[in-house]
Amino acid sequence: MITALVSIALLALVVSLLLSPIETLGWWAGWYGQGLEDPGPPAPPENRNGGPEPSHFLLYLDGIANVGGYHYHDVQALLDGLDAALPHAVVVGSVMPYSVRDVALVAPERPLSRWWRRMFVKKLKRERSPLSFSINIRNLYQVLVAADPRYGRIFGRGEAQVMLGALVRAGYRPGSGVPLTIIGYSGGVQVGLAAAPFLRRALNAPLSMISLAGVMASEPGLDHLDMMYHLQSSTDRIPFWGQLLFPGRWPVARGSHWNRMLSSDRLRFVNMGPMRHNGPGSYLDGATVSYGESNLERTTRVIVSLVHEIEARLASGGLEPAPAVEAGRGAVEA
Amino acid sequence: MLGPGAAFELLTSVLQLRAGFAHAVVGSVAAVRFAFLVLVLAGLSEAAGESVVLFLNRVRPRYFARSLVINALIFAFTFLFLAASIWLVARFAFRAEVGLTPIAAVVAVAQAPRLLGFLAFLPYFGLPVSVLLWTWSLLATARGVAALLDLAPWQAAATIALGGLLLLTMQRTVGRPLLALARLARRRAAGVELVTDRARLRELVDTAPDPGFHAPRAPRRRGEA
Repeated sequence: MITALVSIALLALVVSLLLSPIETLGWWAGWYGQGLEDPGPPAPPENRNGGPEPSHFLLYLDGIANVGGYHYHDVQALLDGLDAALPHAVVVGSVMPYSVRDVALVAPERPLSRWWRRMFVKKLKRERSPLSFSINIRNLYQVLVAADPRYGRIFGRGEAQVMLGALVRAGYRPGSGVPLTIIGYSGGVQVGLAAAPFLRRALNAPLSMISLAGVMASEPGLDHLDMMYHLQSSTDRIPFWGQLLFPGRWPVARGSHWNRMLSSDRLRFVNMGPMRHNGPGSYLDGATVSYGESNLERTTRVIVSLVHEIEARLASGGLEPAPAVEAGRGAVEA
Repeated sequence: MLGPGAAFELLTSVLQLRAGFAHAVVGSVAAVRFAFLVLVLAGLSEAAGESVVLFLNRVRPRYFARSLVINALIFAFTFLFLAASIWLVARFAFRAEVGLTPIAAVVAVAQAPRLLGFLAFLPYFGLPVSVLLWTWSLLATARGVAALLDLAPWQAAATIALGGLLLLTMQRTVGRPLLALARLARRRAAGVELVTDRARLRELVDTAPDPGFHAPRAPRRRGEA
């Protein structure tokens, strides 16, 4: 009985992995009835009540638990915290990072939307059900699509289009040169890197990334970043899976995008102290307190300080490379 | 046609690289037919695994299945030509007294690992899986050819390598019309001007007037001016 169940589960995992590139490829091929200009032609910017133009845009790409359309409480708290601490900047958090069509998992047009909705409710209730982890698996597969040399380019192009649409709707004027900083959490970093070359081309503005425990491959998108900050806890092992799984990040791959980034001094590591990847004790946990501040407060504070650092570098005549710190030794303490 | 039990036994022998499969496959007409069926099905699976090219070319769904079948047939014919090349090398370099059909049957059934070729479609893991299946079927071919022609392993490897070289040479000389025919068949099946080389495929994704993400030029469809 147990063998049969395990076999069925494994088969389901392989079949769903096999089907995972279909959404990206089908979008590109026009099978969903959309053109490549979809989703969402850049709408006119929302009226900002005549206020000053924002001097910085922050685009948040959530981790693989994201279902699109909604945020978990801790993620919303981070976005609210950034919004409050950076009044001159616009924080955009409405992007679904794991669908090139920008369709939420819970959207009615998805055949499995009822399933995803139920699993999402389970997650919101913090029920420890292995079934609700299917959301993470589904999105993890999209991270693999983004990391695949055959599919990643199409995925990145589609996601960049989704991001550009969200930015324009939030008031970004293409061609204005206003800097964009992508804040990626876990698998969201890989999505951001896949989209980076296209975003850079479309915006022609300074582009930086703050990776919160990012899981990423050695992507060409790294070459398009002015600066990247990688925030990671000493006790969070999940980002190391990225290091293990993607050979381009191995030290032996000397000419890889990642290793070139390491030696170019555009990558800085920030040690976040003891935090977990997700759940209680995570980077976004507002209840776990150490050194007089909660994990959420600490994460928000570090991100805000890095945004200020990016702005200071820009104000001083461009982003000058920061001193490189090699992974695993001598990391900068936040 | 071969019974299910015998077919399963034959496939297992190939996948386990047991030398006996070479003599088993030439033992009956049914087994030879089964070998050619395996070759076509392996081609179909391989075509599904590599269907990203069809997606990139924005092939419409109704043309998609047709393209897979045509690609499977081209795959099968390519391996039959490889078998003919191996047969020529074996006959003239190693004086092997074997007919073309047994060699073709062995080469065909040795592609059984590629029945899993659809797994190349897997994101990220697909490429290494594809290399693994290619190596596996190459080893099965070498094992089968060695057993059938009673050659030493190095002789079998040399026969296949020289056969492959001969096939490449013929493709670039007398086989050019056939290659052109294959390209035409692919294009007609897909309904679009198929782009297959890597650089132009990248261009397809990247082409866009900067800045922004305007749609790139759609591939020209057949019949359009």
